[in-house]
Amino acid sequence: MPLVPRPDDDVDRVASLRALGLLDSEPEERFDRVTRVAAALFDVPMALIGLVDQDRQWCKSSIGLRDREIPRRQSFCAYAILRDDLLVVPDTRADERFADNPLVTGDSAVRFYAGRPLRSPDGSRVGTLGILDRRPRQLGPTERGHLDDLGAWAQSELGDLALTDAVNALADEDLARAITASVHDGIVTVGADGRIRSVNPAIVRMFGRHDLIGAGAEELVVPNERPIVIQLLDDRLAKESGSEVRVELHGRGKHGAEVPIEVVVTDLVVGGELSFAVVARDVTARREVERVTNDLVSVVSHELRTPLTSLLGSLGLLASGALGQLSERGSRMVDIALANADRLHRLVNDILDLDRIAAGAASLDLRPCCAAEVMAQALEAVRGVAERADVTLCAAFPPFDLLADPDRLVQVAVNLIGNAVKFSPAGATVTVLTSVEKGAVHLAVSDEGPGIPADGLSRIFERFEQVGSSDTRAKGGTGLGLTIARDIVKQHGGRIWAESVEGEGSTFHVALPAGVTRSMPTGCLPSGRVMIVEDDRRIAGLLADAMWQLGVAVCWSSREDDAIGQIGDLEFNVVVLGVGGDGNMETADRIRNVDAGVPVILSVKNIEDGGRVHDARPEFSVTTIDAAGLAELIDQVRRLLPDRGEG
Amino acid sequence: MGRMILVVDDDDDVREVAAVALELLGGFAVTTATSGPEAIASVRAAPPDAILLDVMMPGMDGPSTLTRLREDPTTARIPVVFLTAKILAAERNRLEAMGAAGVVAKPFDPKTLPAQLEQVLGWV
Repeated sequence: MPLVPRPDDDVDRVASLRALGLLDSEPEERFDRVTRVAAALFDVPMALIGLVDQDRQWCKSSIGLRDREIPRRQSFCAYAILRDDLLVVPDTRADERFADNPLVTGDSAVRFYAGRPLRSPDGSRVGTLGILDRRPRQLGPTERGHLDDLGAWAQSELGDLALTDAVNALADEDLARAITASVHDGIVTVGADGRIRSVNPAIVRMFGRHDLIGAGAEELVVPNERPIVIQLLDDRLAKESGSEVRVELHGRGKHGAEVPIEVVVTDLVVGGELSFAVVARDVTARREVERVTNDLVSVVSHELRTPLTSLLGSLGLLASGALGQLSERGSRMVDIALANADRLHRLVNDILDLDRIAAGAASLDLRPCCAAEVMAQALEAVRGVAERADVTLCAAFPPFDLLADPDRLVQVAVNLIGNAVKFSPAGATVTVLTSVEKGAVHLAVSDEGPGIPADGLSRIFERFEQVGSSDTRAKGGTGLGLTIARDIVKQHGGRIWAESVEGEGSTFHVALPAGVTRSMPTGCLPSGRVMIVEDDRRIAGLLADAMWQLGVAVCWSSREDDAIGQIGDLEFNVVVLGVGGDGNMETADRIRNVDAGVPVILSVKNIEDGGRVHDARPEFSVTTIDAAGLAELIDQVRRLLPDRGEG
Repeated sequence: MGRMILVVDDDDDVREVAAVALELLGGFAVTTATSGPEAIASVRAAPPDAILLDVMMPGMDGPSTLTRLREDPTTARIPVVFLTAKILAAERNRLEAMGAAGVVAKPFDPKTLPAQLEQVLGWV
């Protein structure tokens, strides 16, 4: 038996068939009467209205056929739908398409078939009206005409969309009712007079009342919240609120118990009259989860801090020697215990911090704050650790105010700088630079540590997610610091990310949006302002640190265009510009163009370059990046700063 | 020598650690109480120079104890420093607004606790 060919548009055709909603539906008289007439008219034992879907032929109506559905490959109709006109098979045994068909060889013993394709309203041939006989026969022109007419009749039933829609609408209404009855949310409709028109079973269960229809909608809630409901409905009638209102109220449940509910009120227009659908959801379970979460934080706060107090206290007293000297090993053991109790303490603090941020409890106290002050506090906090680790901190005062929560920013900076110090080898330098780029404050903390593998760069901000966690534990971290930093930066609407070259070090970046006040902050900064234009971050750090010793505000930029923009915006006392040895002074000239009066000092890497640069442009001062050069630079800049009354 | 501090905490270990730190490292005379009512009785029997008072205690908590002490003219003027595991600024402000001389956070560092107390009490 050859495979039945499929029309090119078979997928669309099947979709069109499915859209009719007839497949696997109950028999309907409007189709049965067509097959009945066909069987009588042609005097055949079998007639059908067969619909051909993906894999089968399914009969919406049939006479004399044993099976309601057969595989598509055995279907006569599957051939009939391939053509526009009638398919007539006078003798199935003589037709190679059907000779070995089970309907021909089996009990049904079909010898004759004629089928008229049926089109859905969009024109797809979705099935046929077919007649079958157990003896071979011919179909004359008149009979062909009859079959065509009957087919057209059946087809009009297929296309009777109004009727189909009506049936669907009926089903929709039943469905809607079933849904309303089965949902766990309480649903009531309220008329424009504020009285309840209908309720669903969930509302009855929720409030334990069967007398709600006709009652005022406000009766659903506790007495002191009733004015809220009345006001809410009034506002909606007056169109003073949006299309949907969501409020949290307390329902008066069974036996007068209060039930926390979330209420959504939506306008309904039924028969031209405004009414409201009120959906009430019992949020007792959600409230309970919130309460447990809050309790947990409180329990962690108190229940863990109390034993930690005794632990840290007693160990601290032992270690202090106030209770007598311990043996060397005993004292070592106490130190270990103390260090770990301390780590536990920091972990508890970090978890609480994260929790408060997550819960929104740690809301930001945004105010204009002095970025230099933030930086100074952060550096102060880590300077001791850095000294013990023999790590040099290169940093500068940023010369601007910004809108932020200063305490939180200090926390971020301490975290990043502290991390950088922790992962730096002895003798290394940690560079902290700030700049304003495209209106965003940019903080970059660079270390010369082992670096972070590329696949770890985004993961490191996740809770307890470190590159080599054992490494972090050895460094005494809690594994939460970067997560806290990220959350705080996010709260500020900023971005935090890391860059790293394995074996060379990492740089952590924070960009905080706008909020920068361009004016010189008052009070918190010394009087000078220096711009460093240098793309080598390490050199920029050395220069910035030299300026730090002068106590001046330092702005750093690695990109010339950004730097020139800022020089145009802010008044600088000095610009230190890093240049190569080739004597290319284009940037120096551009700086002069935006601010003709600003002194520009060119910094070069070594004395040879210095000589060449000096010969090319004798009008600029030149400094080298070495101890002597930096000392000289400090002197030079000091002379260029406004007189601070020192002499 | 010999200023007296009453340490009030329902946790035996915390109480003992604080007492040892204040005695050994601070040179204070220390008495202790395990609850608000016990503290009030102790203050009436032998008024201390200052009270280190835990906030969260079962029954009469720290703030209620402070209120009771303030109601009695004989105990109203004794400075109280709260000891609390809650570290939020709001909590600290609330306690200070009640008239506490200061707030010490748990866990405290026993080595610096005496100095911390002296500072908030203005004894330095």
